[in-house]
Amino acid sequence: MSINKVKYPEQIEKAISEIEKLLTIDYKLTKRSVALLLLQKDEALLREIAQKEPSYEKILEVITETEKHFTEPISYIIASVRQETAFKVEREALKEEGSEKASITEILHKLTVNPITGIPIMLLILYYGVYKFVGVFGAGTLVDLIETFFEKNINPVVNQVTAQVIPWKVLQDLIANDYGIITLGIRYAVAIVLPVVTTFFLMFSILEDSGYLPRLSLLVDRAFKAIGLSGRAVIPMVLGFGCDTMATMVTRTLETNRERIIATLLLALAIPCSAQLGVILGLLSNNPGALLIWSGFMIFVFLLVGFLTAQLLPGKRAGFYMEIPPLRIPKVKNVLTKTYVRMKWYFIEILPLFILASVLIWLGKLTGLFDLIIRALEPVMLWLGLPKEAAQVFLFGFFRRDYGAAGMFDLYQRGILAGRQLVVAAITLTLFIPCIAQFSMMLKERGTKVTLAMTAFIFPFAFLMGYLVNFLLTALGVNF
Amino acid sequence: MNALQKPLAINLINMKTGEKGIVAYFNTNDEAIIKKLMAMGVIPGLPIALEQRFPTYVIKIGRTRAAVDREIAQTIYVRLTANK
Repeated sequence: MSINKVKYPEQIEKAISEIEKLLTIDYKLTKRSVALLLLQKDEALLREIAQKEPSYEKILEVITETEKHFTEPISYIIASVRQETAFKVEREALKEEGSEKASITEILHKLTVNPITGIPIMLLILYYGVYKFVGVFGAGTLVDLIETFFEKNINPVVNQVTAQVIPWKVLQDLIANDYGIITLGIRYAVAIVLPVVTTFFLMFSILEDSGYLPRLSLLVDRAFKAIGLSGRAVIPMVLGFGCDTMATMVTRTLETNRERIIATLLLALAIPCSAQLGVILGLLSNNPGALLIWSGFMIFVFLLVGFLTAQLLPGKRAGFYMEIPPLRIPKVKNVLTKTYVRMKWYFIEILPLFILASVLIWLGKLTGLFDLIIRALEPVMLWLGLPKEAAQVFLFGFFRRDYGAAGMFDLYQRGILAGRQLVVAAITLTLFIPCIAQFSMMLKERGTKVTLAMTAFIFPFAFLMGYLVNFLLTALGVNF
Repeated sequence: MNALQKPLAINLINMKTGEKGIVAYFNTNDEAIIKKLMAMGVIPGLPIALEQRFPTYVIKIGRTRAAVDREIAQTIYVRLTANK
């Protein structure tokens, strides 16, 4: 064996050799490592030996017997011995000159974690990095550029070719025209999602590699605890402003199932994605008062629903612990590679969802189901004080966000939707399940039962809040 | 270490910012918490310093820096060493 073999206390060494003798199959690890992992109660390995080792009971006995010799868990003793050995090696190998000085990175670290300076820094990063770069540049400028390209150069060609090759109108519509797989599904994925996701992942990789994200988590942990989340959840929440579908997927990284459920619900309910933000800011930007009411109300709902869910959901609260790496200047190559790999992976996940959306719209129109839903939604719109034309905006917006947006703009310009109604429509539309892609991701990540429960809450809640806001604004005589 | 020289261990949340010590023990039965702490390098016998208390506890253990919430900080007991 190697000279660096770690020597554990006698009782542990004895247990190791006993377990070594009892092991019969090959684990691709030395028997000593397997024995050590078992003594530390490695769950995966314990499950494996329960199935494969004939003397499983005997091994468990050795472990319990050994535990009796110590007051602390064995894993704790093993870690301490390893730490000591590591220290010994370090002392022999490392020569340090001078003491740690307050370097620039140290000063920056202090500035980013102290709440007095850290919170303004956080707001600046979110404003320029997320809002300006991803929201305005990615979701605005770049989306417009690629959309125009698709509409001018790709869609007409696809429409023409399909019209010549396929004789049936019904099948033509599946592939081309207003809601086709290529002209809607793929265009949507490439022209709208791709630029948003690219700018977002680029920004995110820079933040990640600089070591800033753990500091962000540290700053918001206390506030997030109030809504049943931990500082760790700040990452999917920030991602949500880019794309809620992606953020729902990232809730995987949260520690407890309880936290994952709360985060998924808040993302579906109260975090508008960049596409929604674009529309809403466009509609309300002429009315600072309306914008203020909308954003204030969304923050209120976010906190209230988070707080109530945290009270109602059983289970252990999520603890927060995180290593804080030193701040570093990100390497361009690493950032680009990461962005590329993530985009590829994300695109493979999301493209089928957009194709599915096209097929569903095609089916909905073909079967007349959409007309039925729109007629059913019309009275709801009137009840909210909205024109009945808004029903179509809500339904189509679910499948195709840009249509919902265009529809709203259209109603606004025709003067059908005005003043107070704009705020009501914006609030209801934001609370509503954002889009079919996110809905599918929720099904995939949280399962059918939880997703349906959330939907059953969100649908009536969105309309109820719309009604309430309309009622309050009317009662108070607020108009814009 | 000589037992007579060992000062009493205090809870991490009762330490002042800037104070240094040695991790003494964990006061919890939750093995998951102990595992998390040890994975970050918070191991009895290691030097620890408290750098910040609000909004989250920031500690430095050896060369590693970590943030822990109050619940987890409460499980760590530290033997203070003389400052400087």
